[in-house]
Amino acid sequence: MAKYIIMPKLGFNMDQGTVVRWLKKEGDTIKEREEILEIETDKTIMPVEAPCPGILRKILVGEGETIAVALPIGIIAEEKEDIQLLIEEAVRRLEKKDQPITSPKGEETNEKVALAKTQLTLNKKVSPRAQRKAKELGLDLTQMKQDLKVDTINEKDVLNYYKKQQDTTVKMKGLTSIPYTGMRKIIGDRLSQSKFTAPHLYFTCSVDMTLAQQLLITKLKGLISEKITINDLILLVTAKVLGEQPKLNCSLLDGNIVYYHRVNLGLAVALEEGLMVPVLRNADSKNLRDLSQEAHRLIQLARERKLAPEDYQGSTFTVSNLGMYGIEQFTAIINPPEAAILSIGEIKRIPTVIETNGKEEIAVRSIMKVTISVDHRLIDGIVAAKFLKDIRKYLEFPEKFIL
Amino acid sequence: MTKKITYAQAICEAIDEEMARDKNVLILGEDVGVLGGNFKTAMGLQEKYGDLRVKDTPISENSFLGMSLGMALTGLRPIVEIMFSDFLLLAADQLLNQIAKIRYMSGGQVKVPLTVRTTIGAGRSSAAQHSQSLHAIMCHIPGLKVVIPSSAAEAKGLLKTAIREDNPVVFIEHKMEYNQLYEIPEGEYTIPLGKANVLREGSDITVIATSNLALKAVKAADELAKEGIEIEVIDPRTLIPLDRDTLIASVKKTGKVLIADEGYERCNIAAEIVMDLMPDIFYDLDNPPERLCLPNFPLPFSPALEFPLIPDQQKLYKKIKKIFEG
Amino acid sequence: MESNFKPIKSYNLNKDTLLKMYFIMTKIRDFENAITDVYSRGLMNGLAHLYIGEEAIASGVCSNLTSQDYAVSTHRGHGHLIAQGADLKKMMAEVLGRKTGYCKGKGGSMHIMDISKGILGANGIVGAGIPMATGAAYSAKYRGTDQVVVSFFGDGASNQGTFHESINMAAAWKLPVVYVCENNFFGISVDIRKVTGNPNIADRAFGYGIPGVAVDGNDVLEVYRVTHTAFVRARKGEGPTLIECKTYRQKGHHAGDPGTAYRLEEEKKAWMKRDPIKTFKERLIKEEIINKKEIENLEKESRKLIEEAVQFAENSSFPEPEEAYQDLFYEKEGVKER
Repeated sequence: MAKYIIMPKLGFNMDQGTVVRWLKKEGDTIKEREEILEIETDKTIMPVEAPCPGILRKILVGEGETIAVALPIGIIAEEKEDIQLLIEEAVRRLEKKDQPITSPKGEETNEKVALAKTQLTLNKKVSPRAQRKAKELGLDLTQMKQDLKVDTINEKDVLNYYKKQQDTTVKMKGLTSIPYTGMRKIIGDRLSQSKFTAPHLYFTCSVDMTLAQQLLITKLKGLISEKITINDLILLVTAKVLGEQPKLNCSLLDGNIVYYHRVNLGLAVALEEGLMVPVLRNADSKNLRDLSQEAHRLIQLARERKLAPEDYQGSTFTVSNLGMYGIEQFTAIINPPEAAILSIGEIKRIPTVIETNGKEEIAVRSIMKVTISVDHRLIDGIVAAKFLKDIRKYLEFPEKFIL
Repeated sequence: MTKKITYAQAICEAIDEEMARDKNVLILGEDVGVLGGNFKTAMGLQEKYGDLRVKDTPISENSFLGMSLGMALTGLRPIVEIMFSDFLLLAADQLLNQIAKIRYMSGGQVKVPLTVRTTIGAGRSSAAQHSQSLHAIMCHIPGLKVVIPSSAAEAKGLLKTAIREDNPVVFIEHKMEYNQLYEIPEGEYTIPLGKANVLREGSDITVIATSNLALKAVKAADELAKEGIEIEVIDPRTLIPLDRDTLIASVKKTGKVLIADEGYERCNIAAEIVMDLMPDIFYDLDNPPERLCLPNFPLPFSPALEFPLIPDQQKLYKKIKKIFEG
Repeated sequence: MESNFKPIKSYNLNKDTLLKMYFIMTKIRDFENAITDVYSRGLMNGLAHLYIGEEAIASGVCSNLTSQDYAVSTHRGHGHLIAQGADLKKMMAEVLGRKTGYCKGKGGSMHIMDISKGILGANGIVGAGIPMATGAAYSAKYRGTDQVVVSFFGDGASNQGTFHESINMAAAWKLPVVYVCENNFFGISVDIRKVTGNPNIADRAFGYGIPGVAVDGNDVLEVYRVTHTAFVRARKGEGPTLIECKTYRQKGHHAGDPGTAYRLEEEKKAWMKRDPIKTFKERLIKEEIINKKEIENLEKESRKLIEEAVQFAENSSFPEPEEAYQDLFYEKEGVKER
């Protein structure tokens, strides 16, 4: 029995929705309650379930198009069922009089209409004052142009739009929704892009940090007055090894593999609204004291939200440390357009087998798990493995190169 | 303490006070002596100061303006009255080629402490050649300061400063104001050049209005306030030098600007003000800048034709309302 | 015009005054020749209007002036400036556009001014100086001094409205101004006699109710005599006089203009024979007032001064571009000009 897939009304304020993504294509078999597309309203992106099982015979509304609720956007039917009348009626209701019935052309026209609509939207006028305000508030101008119905956008319109966004927390049917905008969305988009583009490959090793800890407490206290942390040591070692193994200090940009001559370490700092990554420049040419000072300075600035744009641009390799949260091990997503990211876990006191004077025995040691995520387009397993090997070497026997 | 006198009397007081204060100040022009000025701006002065200091001239604008330059270069501080700004065109060479330029051409050897008073404004059925407001031309030529007061109190204070100024000043009076009564402060006071006056504060639109349009704008403001539109009225007072800072601060606040001036629309002083301020206000503008001026036609004689053309309180009200409706 | 010079002795002038008058004329001639030279060498921009052939007028008139009097000149003003004692170096530097010039390079040949010597300036607009001079005379009367103002202008300016308006007012108010019209018969290429109803400019004085005198502008002593009478009249408060000095421009309208296309050869030849400097020199020597040696010394001195002026000017630097933005308005200390 043929049925329309319609644009659902998902809130009492919703009167139109945008087709974001069809999860199935024409000809696919649809199961009962299977999610077949995603739509977007003012508030969020929502999946839409099929109204019945069958074959997705026709897609009537393409991706990016916005239409009123309750209008047909697709047809599910049996494989051989005649749906001609349904198509004609749908086309009439959608007011696409020039829409031909056969599929390929239909898609093309859909695209054209969508493009025309986008053009119209983008041609909307925005006053300089309004543009400046929108930028200030972190609003997406293109999105705003699509959403607002006025021909010219003034500051007042921007302020109202922003207020509406902030105000929309609707409690309905056991869910609370807030707009996915601003910093959250920016970070989300970037990480999605990284994960979906770069084939991630992960390697973990356990590092015995006992000697490093001792070094910090006993030896360095006497020599250096400032407080040096384990993290500082990790940064120093990372910078050094990267300097020695530059194959991991690169990016894939515009069809070229760009190898950086400097090591600029990104330091992942967790803030309430999201992740900030200030950049420690020329980490490979700094000594422990200078590196520590700079790292602490940047992290402080990040926490105070006082970082300037140049402070969080230009990193070549990122280090993320979640040890203080008791995380043993994790696989971070690479910070694009870098080639790799180092994830540091907590230092745990656990019983381990060590060798003393040629004899094996069990001792309680400080063990820290270090994981590297690499972009397999740029870095092979062996390169990553070698990197980790040296990281481990220096961290386990730090005295050799620090003093 | 204030007193109520006419705009013409206020100007006469300014001239009188300055002539009493400085024996080198004199006034010359057509009908200033025996008649006391065609607009009564020099009443009683000739009896008080004598013929040499209050001089009736023949109808020789170009030359008596040129003479005033010769006087200014040789120790005197003349005030020249040119009856209508239209007649300044007869003296264009002396005003624009000589007076405006002589200090510069001499490499700074001389200063020219000269005040040229003239009148603008339509509304008396004086037709095309006696009703123009040509101050934009005075602004275009470098070397002249241009002062354009709104009310009688403003005129008195600004004229005294203009007379004391050691540079050529063109002082623009509005002929429809001369017989109007105004409150002016008692006693001696001056108003500095180059400092605009915010007549009324508002947050919705900046209205920069010259001469008596500033007063009309304030009246229109009350009507507009009833509709919830709060306009900020600024009287620029001097066009050269222009108080950019006050104007910019206002536009930054409101995001909208309307300039009202009685000159012809084309090449109106409004165009210059907007361009002058534009680098500092572009990103603050919510709407394109607007202007209310005379249309680009000579002024016709019949009141039925003339009055609908002149910018006034009603037109200001309508124009501003339209901006907020759109 | 015939050579009817009167004997010098009949003027009752002492030797010093006569030598001074001659010296002024030589300096003017040498200066103007130097201008032609720097122009041909490409050192001079713009135009310079040469006074060559008219020196007797500047010398004769200005020898009557005191340091308190004023003079207003024309675009052909170097002669008047030199006759009033202007600094030759600063003049030449100004013509060459240097920062050491009178006007710091801002005025050029046509706008040189020396307020310290009462020279209210050369002027680029024909006839524009006449009202200025008249106003300065009004100022003198106003302040109760016995200063006199000389208003120099040419035959061309006598047809400009300002001539009529200014002389009228000066006559009406009895202002202490002497109007000296240097009639060299041509306004660039236009022969005054073709465009003027009555080409005898002195006749116009009658219309204004003031005395008008025509004089041989190439006879320095006649010019001196007539001007002297006018000055006395002015200082006594009896009002203005119009003096028309008939003369001839030996060169073209401006440096570089041959001036031949529009002028009659015979007329020019006749006037060249009556060169004011040559004729004066001959008379001085003939009447044994001065010997040849003294005159030659003067001429040498004149040439030396002009050479120094040219040197000074050529060695002076040009003004900085930023200076174009200065000297528009007079501002008190600490206030920036816009």
